[in-house]
Amino acid sequence: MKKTLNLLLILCLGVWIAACNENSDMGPNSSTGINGSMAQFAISSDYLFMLNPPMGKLSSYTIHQDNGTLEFNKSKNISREMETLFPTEDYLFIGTSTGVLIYDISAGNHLNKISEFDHIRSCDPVVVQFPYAYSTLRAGNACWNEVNQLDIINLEDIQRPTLVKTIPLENPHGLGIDNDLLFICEGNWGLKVFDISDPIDPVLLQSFQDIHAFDLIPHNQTLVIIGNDGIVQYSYRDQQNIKLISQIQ
Amino acid sequence: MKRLFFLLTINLSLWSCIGDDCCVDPLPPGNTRFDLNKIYEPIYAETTEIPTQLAKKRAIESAGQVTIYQHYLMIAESGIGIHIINNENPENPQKIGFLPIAAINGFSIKNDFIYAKHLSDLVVLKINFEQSTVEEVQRLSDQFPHNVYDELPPGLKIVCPDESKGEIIGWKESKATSTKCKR
Repeated sequence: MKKTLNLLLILCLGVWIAACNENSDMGPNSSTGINGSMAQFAISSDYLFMLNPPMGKLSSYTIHQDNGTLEFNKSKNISREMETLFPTEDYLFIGTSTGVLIYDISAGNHLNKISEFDHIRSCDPVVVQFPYAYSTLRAGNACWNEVNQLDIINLEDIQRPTLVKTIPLENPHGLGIDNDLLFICEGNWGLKVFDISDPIDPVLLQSFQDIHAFDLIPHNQTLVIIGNDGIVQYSYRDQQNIKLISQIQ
Repeated sequence: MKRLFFLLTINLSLWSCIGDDCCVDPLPPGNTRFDLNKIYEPIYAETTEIPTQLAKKRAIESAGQVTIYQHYLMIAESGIGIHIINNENPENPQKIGFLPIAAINGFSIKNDFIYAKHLSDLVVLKINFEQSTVEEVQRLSDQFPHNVYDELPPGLKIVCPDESKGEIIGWKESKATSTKCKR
């Protein structure tokens, strides 16, 4: 009974987050683009966040609703190699080469670090479906650790994120979640789709090895993938039969 | 002349001959798209101006960022600009055009305002998808230190840059099999 309740709760959260992603600001006729997990720019409500690669600056700007212009708020120097941004309504998750940083952006013009989850040196985008974060670690080149894996991180206590599970992968890049499905780009190894109806026990549903996959966004039953093959789209309307629907270069 | 000397100084300080061991300094790049086993070549600016009309559609060569906005797909090509695609029917996506933004490394969009890096500036562009027009609304200068070599990881092999070909606005994988230059 408790498990069912838990599942229901997670499902509700999932639906809520998916709804948020589609339109994180609820104003009339207002819409915000959804960026893939490898992006270095992010918008959450009326705030723009961006990374200044390669080393260490995170900046925040306020977006004026009436004319779209920006007002600079704040920059923070962060002595890490920051790579990717993933915004939720209240938090900004930063994928760095040495871990995931979590910032409180509920008051968007402030940037307050809440916690971090450290890992060995690698490349790692992160996506979140509360109460879990999914982060891929990739061996970027010969000089780094030869680690290719998915980390599942528990965020129930956002002050103290904890590693729940690690799953070995081939060459993970971008990733995305839509409710029960987790999609992971595997570079030259293509795409992997996992069933995460149990969020800490992903089960491989399907893999597609004949494409190159760098980053992706699952949205409205359509998966958009970018890679060396241009744009490749799959329909996941039928989860048991995810199929290619188009490709353009 | 002064500028030339400046460029020369930068170049001399940044290039060195290949032959050093790549693994002495394990510091990786901030930019995860580079692979030390590959050779990269400079992308020279065709234009550094942002046009008021979308340029005609072109092939997607090296997609760096994917964005879904309403029924459009926007694909950033690192250093060059944004491909704009009508994806009303995902089974038959249609390219609308290309928005050249020199040295772009990413962007966001909200209410038809695009926020993007342009050279060392942060620009706000209002896009009209139906009319394929673009209007610059705001420019915040020098938000990014603009040194195109900074994004390259130390030790990366690059095709030797030729400043006479124009301003370097980014890097792409090269088909070259050998080179004398590296970062």
